[in-house]
Amino acid sequence: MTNVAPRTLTVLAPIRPGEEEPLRAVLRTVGDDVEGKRLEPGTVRPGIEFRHSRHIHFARLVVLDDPDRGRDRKRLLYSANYDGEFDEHLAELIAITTDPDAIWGRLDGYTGPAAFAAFIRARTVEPEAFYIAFRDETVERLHDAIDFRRRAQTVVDEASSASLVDLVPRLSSGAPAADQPLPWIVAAAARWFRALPIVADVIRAVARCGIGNVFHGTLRIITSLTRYPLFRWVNRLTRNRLPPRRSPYSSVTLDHCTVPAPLVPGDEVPSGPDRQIPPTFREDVIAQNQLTLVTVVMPGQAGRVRAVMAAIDSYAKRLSPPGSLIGISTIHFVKWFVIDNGRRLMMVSDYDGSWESYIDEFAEMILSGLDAIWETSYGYPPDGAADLPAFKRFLRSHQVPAEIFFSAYPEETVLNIVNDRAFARACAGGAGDHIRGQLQHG
Amino acid sequence: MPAMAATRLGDDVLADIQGFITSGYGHLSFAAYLFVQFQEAAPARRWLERVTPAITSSRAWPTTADGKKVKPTLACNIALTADGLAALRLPPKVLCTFAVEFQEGITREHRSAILGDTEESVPANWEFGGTTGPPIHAVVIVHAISAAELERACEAQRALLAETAGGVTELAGTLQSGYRPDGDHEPFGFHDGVAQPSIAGVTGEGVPTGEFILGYSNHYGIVPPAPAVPAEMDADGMLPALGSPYHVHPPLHDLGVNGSYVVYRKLQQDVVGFWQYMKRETVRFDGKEDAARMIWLASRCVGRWPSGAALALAPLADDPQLRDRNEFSYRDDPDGLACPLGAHVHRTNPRDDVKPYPAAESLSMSEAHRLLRRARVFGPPLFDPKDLADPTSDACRTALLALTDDARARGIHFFCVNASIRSQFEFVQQTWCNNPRFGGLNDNKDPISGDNNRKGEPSSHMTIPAHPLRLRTSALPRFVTVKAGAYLFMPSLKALRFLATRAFTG
Repeated sequence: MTNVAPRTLTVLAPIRPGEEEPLRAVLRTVGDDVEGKRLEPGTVRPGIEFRHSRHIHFARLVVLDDPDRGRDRKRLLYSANYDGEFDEHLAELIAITTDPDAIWGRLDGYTGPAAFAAFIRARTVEPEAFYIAFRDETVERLHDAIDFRRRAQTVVDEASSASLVDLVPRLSSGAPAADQPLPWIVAAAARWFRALPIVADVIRAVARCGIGNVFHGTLRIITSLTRYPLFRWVNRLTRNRLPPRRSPYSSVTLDHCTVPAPLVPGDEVPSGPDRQIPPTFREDVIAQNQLTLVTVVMPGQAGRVRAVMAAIDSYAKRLSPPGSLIGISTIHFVKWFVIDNGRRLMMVSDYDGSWESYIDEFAEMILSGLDAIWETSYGYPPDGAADLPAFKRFLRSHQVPAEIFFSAYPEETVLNIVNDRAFARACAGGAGDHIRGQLQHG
Repeated sequence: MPAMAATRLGDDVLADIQGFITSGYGHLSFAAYLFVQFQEAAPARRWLERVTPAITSSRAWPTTADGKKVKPTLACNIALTADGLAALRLPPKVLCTFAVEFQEGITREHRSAILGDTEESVPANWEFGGTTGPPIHAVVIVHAISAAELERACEAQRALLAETAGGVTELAGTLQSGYRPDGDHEPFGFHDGVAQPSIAGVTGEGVPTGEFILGYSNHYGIVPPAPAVPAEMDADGMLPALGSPYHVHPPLHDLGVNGSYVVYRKLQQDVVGFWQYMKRETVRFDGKEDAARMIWLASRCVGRWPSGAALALAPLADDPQLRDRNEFSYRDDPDGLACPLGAHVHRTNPRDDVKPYPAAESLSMSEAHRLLRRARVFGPPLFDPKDLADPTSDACRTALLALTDDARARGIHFFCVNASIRSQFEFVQQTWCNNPRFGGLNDNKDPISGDNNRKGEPSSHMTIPAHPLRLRTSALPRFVTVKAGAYLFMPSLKALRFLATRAFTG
């Protein structure tokens, strides 16, 4: 059992000129069949067999514009969240890649499998902010909890109230090992211990982004977080409130047919074969979806964006409880990157439910945080995220569909995992009352 | 200028809003729906012009000297599809200002996937409005106080169609009729239509006007985008100028204000299948047939008892005195022991219980996704719903245990009014009803309106929290099949006159 949180590997590598379409063709084949269900058995599948991986939580491959290299240039984004060490992840990635040249061979600077590690390492980008819903869960443990819940469902289905006496020991002995809750005093101490490095985070952020950016960036995030007493108090003290709306009308364009146009050179707009249909449904599966978003940061604002990211990162690492980012419980992983020497901001997230509900929940729970993140990007609505139709249009017009999106547990929402963990913990603890409490709903 | 959400709409405004949007016409029990197709633009516009004067608005009903309201005996309303607007030759630059989902229509493949219009509900199998037959261009909705009055009104409508000499034709065999049964029981036997939101601008309190009527402030305090026409198309100013400061070049006139979007679905209900499933499951749970237990189980699926009493208010047994009580919350029932989380009414309006959010945020999220329902029942009832009032009675046992199929189609004509089909109707269907993981549930879609039993997906089961052991039903079939549907725009009366009298050259 490991207590190390999942890591992320994110790579941005230029695609060789002329190789975009063949690369997309290869990726699409994998993407359409990422769970190994759709293609006929025996069909040649060049590429990556993600379903054979044991340590990858989520992974995606996305073709992005590469405007700094040239107008028609593209780059490949590979982003994964995995358990274990970097070298182990690379080894697994190589092991599940059936034809390395078909994908990596189409990228600039790739010389062959022997130099793969060096190739990847040189093109890795590090997140400015990284939130993980469950810092102590590996893919293996999550699978164990899911399997146990499924087995338990069947056991309970067949049980009757009369056999309740047998049921509790049966479930208790079959449960996977689970961490038991600590005594409250130890838990409180552990929380403080985890939160302590915030001091160092602040010093580092001030040194890097300047005190003004850190102060104003943080205030921007917490403006609407009045449900937390601390933030409410800070907001009152600093007279920090949402700016008045400029108009009761939405600023969103009235023309819903035209594809969004780039506002400035390098403004990422949805590209690729799907461009004809609005991106609303491209990735709108019931259980889980991916969001990859690239916006262009206004000149001189990189420090501010980095300061906002530093605050989010520090909160996510030091304070956020399992399964919840400032109250939002539909995110498995989310990462933000400031790329291209501070010119662009890239968001990479793995979330639950429909796109509409994901965005609505953000708007409900952390409206001012959305403004803090994107108000320094081109194209942001004048009234910010409060103008929800315009904000949604802003996101859609900067959202890039993935060619491949893999999830190790595609039917599990964050809430399911919270429930499964509670159930497994109750059963592993063996306390009859806890187990019986769970059996009433579960 | 649009009124603020909390202020009441003035009489002139109400006179511009079609009555269907603000009233369920509760006293007009009989309804008919005429689906028509425009063969040519010019006669279609003339037909609109002829129909418009008889359209019922939301204007307050007159009162007699002794203060009694004089209710109309007939109400007539009209709504158009995007195909219909295109057939009237509304130019593409105007069509483009309508919501994307309306422009695309209800039958697109990716729409069917999220709505669950798959398997037996697939639009290729629809009676009309689907992918195989002629397109719906408009629907005339008639509500009347009696069957005879309805018949007369339909004849009058058909005479208007005949005047167009083939320019506007009724879609063959698609005339639909519906009625409001005594006690408002839908075909499964449950009192329906209790949880209807009220429009703040009409009643003075309730859900912000902009959630249901275009041109007003919505839940987010925003006047959402609405269709508009270039001012030069409306030289004599039939339509008001668009108030938005963001869209002034070129100047635009507001085609949407006082209108709304309407969703139509013909939902056929498998009443025999529904109650036989309840019987099978109670036998599986208890080892015996028991009508009272069947009602208990069915009510757990619906979230209300047959009388309409909410499980959250009456967890143990039906209580007819609570039939119209709609003020309740799920605050005292976090585990769903009274009303299961997966129950139909809990999903379609989660109130203060959008898991795992706090009550205030949940209420707010729920309010952003409300629908005004305008339904009428079709087909004869298979049993007298009054028989369910006493679950231990012989009448109830006979009704439920000996239910046999009479091969008659029955169900509801479901209409709903919303300012955004995408974030209201589609949101509720996709994110709440069809979501097997709703609120952290496992493989449990809405037992009534979810897309259960979908090919290539894990089966769906109703989970019912209970002491000491929760119950989980066997795989849910679909009790409700979609037989027809349309995404419609219900214009204001001004917009109707504009559409009828302006020759469009696009």
